[in-house]
Amino acid sequence: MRSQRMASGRFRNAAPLLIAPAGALLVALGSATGLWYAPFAAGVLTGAATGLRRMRLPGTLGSAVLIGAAGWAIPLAWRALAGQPVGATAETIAALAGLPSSAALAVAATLLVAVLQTLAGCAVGRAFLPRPRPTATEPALVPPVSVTSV
Amino acid sequence: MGCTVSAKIRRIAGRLGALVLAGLLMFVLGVGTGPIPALGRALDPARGAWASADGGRLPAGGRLHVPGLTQQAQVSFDNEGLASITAASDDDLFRAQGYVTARFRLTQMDLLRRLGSGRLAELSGPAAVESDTFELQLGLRRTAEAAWTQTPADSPAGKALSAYTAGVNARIAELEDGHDWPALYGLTGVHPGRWTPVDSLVVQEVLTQQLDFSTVPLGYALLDRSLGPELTKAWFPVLPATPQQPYDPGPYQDLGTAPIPERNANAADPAALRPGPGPAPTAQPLDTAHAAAAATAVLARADHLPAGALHLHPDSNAWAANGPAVAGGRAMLAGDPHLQLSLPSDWFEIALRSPGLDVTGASLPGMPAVLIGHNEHISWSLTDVQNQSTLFYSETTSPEHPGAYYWNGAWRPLEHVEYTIPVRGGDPVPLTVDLTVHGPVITRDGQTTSVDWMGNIPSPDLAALLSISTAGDYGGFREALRGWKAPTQNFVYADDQGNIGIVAPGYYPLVKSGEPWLPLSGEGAADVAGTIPFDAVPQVYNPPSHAVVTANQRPVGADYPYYIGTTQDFDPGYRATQINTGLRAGPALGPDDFGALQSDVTDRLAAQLVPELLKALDGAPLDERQRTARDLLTGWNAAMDEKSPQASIWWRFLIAYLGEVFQPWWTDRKVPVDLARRHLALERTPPALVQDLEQWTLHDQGNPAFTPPGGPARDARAAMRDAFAKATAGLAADLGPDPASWNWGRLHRRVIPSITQVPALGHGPLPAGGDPWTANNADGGMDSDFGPSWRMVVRWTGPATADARAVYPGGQSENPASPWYRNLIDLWWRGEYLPLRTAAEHGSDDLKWTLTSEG
Repeated sequence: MRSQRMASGRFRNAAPLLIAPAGALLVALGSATGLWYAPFAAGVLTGAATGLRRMRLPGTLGSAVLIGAAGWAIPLAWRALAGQPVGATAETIAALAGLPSSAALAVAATLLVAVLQTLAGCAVGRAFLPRPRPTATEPALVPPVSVTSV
Repeated sequence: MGCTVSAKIRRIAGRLGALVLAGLLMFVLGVGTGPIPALGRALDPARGAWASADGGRLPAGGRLHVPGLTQQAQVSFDNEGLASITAASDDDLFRAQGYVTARFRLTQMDLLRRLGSGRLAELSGPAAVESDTFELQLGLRRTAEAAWTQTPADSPAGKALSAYTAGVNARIAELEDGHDWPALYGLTGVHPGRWTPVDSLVVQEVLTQQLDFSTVPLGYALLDRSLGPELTKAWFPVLPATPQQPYDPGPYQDLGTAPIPERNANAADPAALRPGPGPAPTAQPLDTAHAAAAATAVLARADHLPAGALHLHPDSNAWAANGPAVAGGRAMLAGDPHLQLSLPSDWFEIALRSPGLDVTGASLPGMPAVLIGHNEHISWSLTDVQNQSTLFYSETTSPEHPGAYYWNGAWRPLEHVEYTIPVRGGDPVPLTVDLTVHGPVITRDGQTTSVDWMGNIPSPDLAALLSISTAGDYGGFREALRGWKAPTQNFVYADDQGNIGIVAPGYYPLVKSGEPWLPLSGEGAADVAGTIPFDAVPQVYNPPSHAVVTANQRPVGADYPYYIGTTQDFDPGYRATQINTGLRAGPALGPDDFGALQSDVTDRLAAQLVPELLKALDGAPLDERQRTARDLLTGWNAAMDEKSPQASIWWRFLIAYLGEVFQPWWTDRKVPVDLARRHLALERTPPALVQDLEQWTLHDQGNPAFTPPGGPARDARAAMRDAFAKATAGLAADLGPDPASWNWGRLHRRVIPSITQVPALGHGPLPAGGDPWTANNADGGMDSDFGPSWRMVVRWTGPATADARAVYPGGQSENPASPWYRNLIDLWWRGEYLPLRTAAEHGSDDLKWTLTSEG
């Protein structure tokens, strides 16, 4: 029992490290294929997966933020590595959007849009997850009142 | 049990809440709301606005696929992005030109097309609805459609337009496949549709409007109403009192009136009109109050047009010299069209070569061929004639005859054209355009007013340009221009045989009766009777002076037998005078001298009036600051240099002088300056009033105009002294007490705005020299955004041999992230040039593309 709990705890600790890169890659691939809503889809999956594994909220949110931000940062980095003037383009985008012509602002706005999507997806994923039935050996993530009422 | 239900409710509520919030967010990100674009799509790093980063790189060499080419076409770019295309046929050449231009200027082309087609709001949102309404009423697209209908598909122009269109669409197809749209489209999600030949003709129409559509008669209507007919005629006369330097000094021939063979594409067809029943209206003189109200309404709406859409400032210098005036004895030409400056520029520099064509110069993005440049034997440049090409008609209407107007003795039904203006982030706007025999109705405020604009008559400009491009001598050049109708342009010419000349083809409308500088009666008696015959339009060939100069001055003398416009239409002539002076400065001038003249900032009006000001200040009580300012002006060379404090003193003095003399009259007569600032505001230096001041100051210092209405008698000297005191006080308040520090660049700057109107994507404002009357023109206010949009000097050194150079303020790419976005500005600013290479002269080190239909 103790080892099970330890394993579960290790998953909860390690989950973001596993989920986030996979999710980010998924989002980046989605973007490359024209799926601008890939961060949302990745967020739903993240919410479901972390919920199923009963990952704590901070870890879940952290994963979602990482997935969204990194998922859209990867294509930008790819562009920069390919020699495209990403900084100057960012300034252009910011200026056209009516913001101060700052590359950082455009990048931040872009990553924010991705993060908002993953967070929204995550909320949906978690909200539609079936409530887990707590076992006697594991502390419930939900208040005990739901246990007694079952 | 209660807890369970409550938990279920909470869970359902939680799920619903999450769904609703997520749905809302995704809707906003995926569809957008109001003015907010679909940010999810817009900022998607692979396909949104970020995809434009790819176009910000310098292009790499290689093979590119352009469907429809019959053979490979070679494209090369030098280090600065200046392009050349060599193709095996004209069709391939123009197809490649369309592709290459769209590759670098698609946004600009689309914005021009949208402007002229009344589709800006679809991209820009509700703020552009006024502009779209105006353009749909004026009818640029209807004219373009008519022009295309009249262009035989197998004619050189028809084939060029079709090939160019195919090239543009090859690029659009590429973007559709690759999703790497220019940033504006990536952000808004509104993508440009396929190009058509009509779109190219719309672009031609937009340029025609910029050069040719004038609201001067509306300004006259307001003056007529407020200042009164007598003073209006005296102070805003048809013929200037000041000496002019027309390039065509005569003798002139009155060849009568030539008919205008083509029908106005935006007018009701007189032949199709069936008279309606009803008595004739009571004959009445034109109601000046209603005409003024109509003028006010139209001018207010015109203020919503994008910068540069209407003709506001004098445009351009061009001159040529030959024989002893030129080092080497052949001919040399200089041209610098002055336009609203923009990034990207109006121009795309290109060399085009096929077995039938070898031409190099400035092309207009959206149009095939080259508008200004040279071929193997001849060179040419343009300035705007600025004759009156726009006539306004006050239509007679009656509540008893709704939907009709009275013309040629009967009530005629208005024709209608229906539009729906799509608006990004807003509801579509329905629009009905009414057409009379004169043209579209542009307002019903005050007086139903229609406009008869020569630009609304289809003009086969491309056919003329293609003929010019292959002309080998003046005869061919002049003959090619016979077909050019609008906008009226001074075509300046120089060739490799040492000949020079100017021809000013186009429509010069002549009315049957009435004063065409005012709104005319729409009942028929004042209709356009025709135009000046081609053989009688202003022109000159190999004059004994060995120089021809046009700088928008009145091109003909006072005894020219035709009406072509008033002092409010033409430039006062200071640039022309300075250029003529410069051309006589040395025994034989070279390209560097012509270049220096293009950058000259001598203000000829200052050169004439400052000595009079100094005389007026003689013996006048001056404080120390005024004495210092006066001493600075003594011996000043009238150069409006950026570092010149004298330039600041002069300019502020001139504005104050105009105000001293005319503002009391404006106040007394309630001239509605705020309703028509472009025509009536004194700080905008109306050309007629500037010439009045020049004339009176030099020759009539006791003119009654110097005495304010109801005020004590005053002469020019007293007015100048008062103006000088005001100018120096104002400068001290603005720039500090030391006159030596009042550098012109502290007041006067240049700015090159982005076509997107986003300041950060423009250039400047930066301190700059020049003013509206210097050859290096700087118009549009203290932050000048109007001036030389292209500078070119072509020196013919032998048969089919030219030394050509050019520069423009911008770069070949419209992508702000590209190194070719603004790389030419510094050269232009310093008055330097780059070689204007023909396709054969493009270097072997250039970056090269091979365009092919294979692949």
